[in-house]
Amino acid sequence: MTSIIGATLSRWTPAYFAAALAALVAAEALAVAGLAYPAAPLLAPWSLVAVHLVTIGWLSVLMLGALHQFLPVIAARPLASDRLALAALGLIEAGLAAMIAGFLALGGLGVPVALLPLGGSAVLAGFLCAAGNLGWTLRGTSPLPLPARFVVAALGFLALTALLGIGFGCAFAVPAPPDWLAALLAQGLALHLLAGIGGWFALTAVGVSYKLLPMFMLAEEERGRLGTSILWLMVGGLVLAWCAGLIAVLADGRGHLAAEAGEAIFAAGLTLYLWDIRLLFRQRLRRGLELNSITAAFSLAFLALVLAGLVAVRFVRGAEAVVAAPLLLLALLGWLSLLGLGQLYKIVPFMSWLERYAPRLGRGPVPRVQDLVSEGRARPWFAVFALGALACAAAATIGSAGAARIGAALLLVSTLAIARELMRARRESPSPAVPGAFPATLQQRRSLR
Amino acid sequence: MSAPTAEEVMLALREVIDPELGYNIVDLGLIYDVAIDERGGAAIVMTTTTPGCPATTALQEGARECASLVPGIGGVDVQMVWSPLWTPARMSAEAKEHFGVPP
Repeated sequence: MTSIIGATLSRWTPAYFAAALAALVAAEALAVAGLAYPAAPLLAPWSLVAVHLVTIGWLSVLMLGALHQFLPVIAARPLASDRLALAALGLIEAGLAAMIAGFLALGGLGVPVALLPLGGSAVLAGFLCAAGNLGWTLRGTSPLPLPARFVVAALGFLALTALLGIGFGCAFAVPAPPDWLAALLAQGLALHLLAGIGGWFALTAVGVSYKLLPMFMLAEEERGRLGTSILWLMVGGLVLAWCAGLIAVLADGRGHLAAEAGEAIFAAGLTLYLWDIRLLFRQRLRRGLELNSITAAFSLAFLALVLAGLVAVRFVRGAEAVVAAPLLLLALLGWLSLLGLGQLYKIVPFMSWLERYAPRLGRGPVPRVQDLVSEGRARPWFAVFALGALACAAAATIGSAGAARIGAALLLVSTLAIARELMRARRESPSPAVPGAFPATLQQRRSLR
Repeated sequence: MSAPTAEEVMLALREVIDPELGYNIVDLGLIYDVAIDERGGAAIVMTTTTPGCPATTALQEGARECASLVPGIGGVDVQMVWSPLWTPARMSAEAKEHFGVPP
């Protein structure tokens, strides 16, 4: 950890954030070029590259970067190892690069397909480094606060997702895979998605939002029995769905009903979470909402849309084949990416403030965190990003490559604009005028003496 | 020089802001107690808006720095506590009005 007067910052978190944004931009550029889904088939090599740039390069690296800053705050102790944080990032990025080469080998690039499981192994090693580092940081923290319990469960699903991914890579790379591995490749994608999106991403997003939203909106952080019930419903539902799903893959469909029951329990947990966040917004004491909280509200509206879509497809024959992938896009872009970008818009200025102004606190006027950003300038770009997510999902539903490329262009332009705002927050030096914040004047002080 | 009063230290502490809320820590109700001993040493008991606030050390050091600049102060000890937990009810009337918190 970098020790600065008045602050303890995770040294490598800015590097995680920069790498994450670069991966998102690269994935969006591929979609704008028409090489990747939704402008190209979902399982085309460049689509697989874009999907993994978003899921590993963007969302996973973003979340791990945030957790390296956020878990030490919860545990009230420094991160266990700065070096391990850097090693994890290096392994993930190197592994992702090898995976990308491996995916392109499937499309005819003259490199060994074995790069796929090798890269996946490096990514898994990076995830395990990060999970171990974060878990060790939390050691002895008792009782573990609700947000941290979500994150601990999420880290378990992260390892499971990566392990399954390596299995897929091996099945691609091995000339004659054993029957169980071939069955996993043919039918195991749902398990990979369930552990990755339902386990790792959803549990982390829920846990982190339970810490950040009450903190920024002056709302009650303690969520009581409802919060604990949501945790158990989500984790229990996922474990049931995943185990029963694995049995269904390996034992010719047996366990299918239990898997569906598990998914329903998980969805019930997420629905209760949305209800609880609605309560949290209503209970907030800070009436004016900042851009990160507004963005969070919109991202959760996307989550509600995804949940409604998942319920609807159960009742419409043949709908699942048409809208499953668009719903996935809505979850990855509308819910998780919008939520992530919105929270970055708060976390980056906060870290920048701690680096630059914490040493000056108490020695004279300093700017506020919100003085480092211009919400009016950034707000339209978040709206454009949300519009881009909707456009991509709609284009994927109707199968329009042209509309998909326009949607991806909206995402790309808005991401670049938001990235520029984040860079400004790290560089600009606003004047420290804070109306109403410093009612004490020298005259008032003298009048007391 | 006579020892400063607790009120003078409190007034000085109003120059320290919570960076996220952008308001001074005294009117936010983050200062629980200020006591001055016979040698002019100040003992400040304070909190943050939430346990585990990333700005905890910054606020503690900022309060220490600010109080130590009060003329006649003999030394400053700043203790961070989270019991009782801070609630917006601790804000001054002005701060409540600023944030739209009901009185």
